[in-house]
Amino acid sequence: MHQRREPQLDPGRLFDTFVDGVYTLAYRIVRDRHHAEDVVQETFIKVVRSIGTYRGDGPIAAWIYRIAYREAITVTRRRTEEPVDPVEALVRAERAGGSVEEQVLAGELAIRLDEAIGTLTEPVRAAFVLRDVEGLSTADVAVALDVSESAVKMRLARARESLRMQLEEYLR
Amino acid sequence: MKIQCDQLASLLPEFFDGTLSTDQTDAALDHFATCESCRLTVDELEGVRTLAGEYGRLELPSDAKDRIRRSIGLD
Ligand SMILES: [Zn+2]
Repeated sequence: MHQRREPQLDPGRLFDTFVDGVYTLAYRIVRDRHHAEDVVQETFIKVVRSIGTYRGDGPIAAWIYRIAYREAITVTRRRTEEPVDPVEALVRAERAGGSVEEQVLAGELAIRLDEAIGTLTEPVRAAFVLRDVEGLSTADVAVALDVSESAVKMRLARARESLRMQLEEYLR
Repeated sequence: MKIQCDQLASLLPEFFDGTLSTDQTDAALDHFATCESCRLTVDELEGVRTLAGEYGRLELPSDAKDRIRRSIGLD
């Protein structure tokens, strides 16, 4: 059979495309910069090593986030110390524009959102981050987290409602 | 089809995904037209999703990116 590698499966390109998304998921789960970086590294080691086994039977994003989620869970289970780095400095650079007031509000929002996400249970948090932060489809989130779509929908409903209550003052 | 607040709540994940059937969509819109409380709730939930998309994404610092790229042999 003729072997051909899709250009979008080039490891360097996959890294560039998914590194921030994987970091976002990792940080949201492990809540520590250095552990999150370790998760990114381990994830892409596995992606590079096993890209040959990806059969294209589902979207590549779900395949990569599935590896990343497992790595993140492994790291959280292993660690004992309490995490938490300020999230402010990590928010994507494109948000940094605008007036001083806008930047202050953006920083405050990022922190409040981070705290609110941190109160969610891990499975609920992971579903929310993949769907509403990273924008995967509900079906892809189900593949990434290895649960049914209806379980994803239940988790999303729980996450959104909890964040609605916690962030109410910013939503009016 | 006429639905109550709790039934509307159970439709919301699919409502946001845009995967409700035509009948369900009509029922949801009918409900919003008469129920201010659900209308407000959905606006706020939509706000949560917007906030998450705008402020929830993080960027791995570029020195870490370079280090990881090198360590896995991508450079
Ligand atoms: Zn209602």
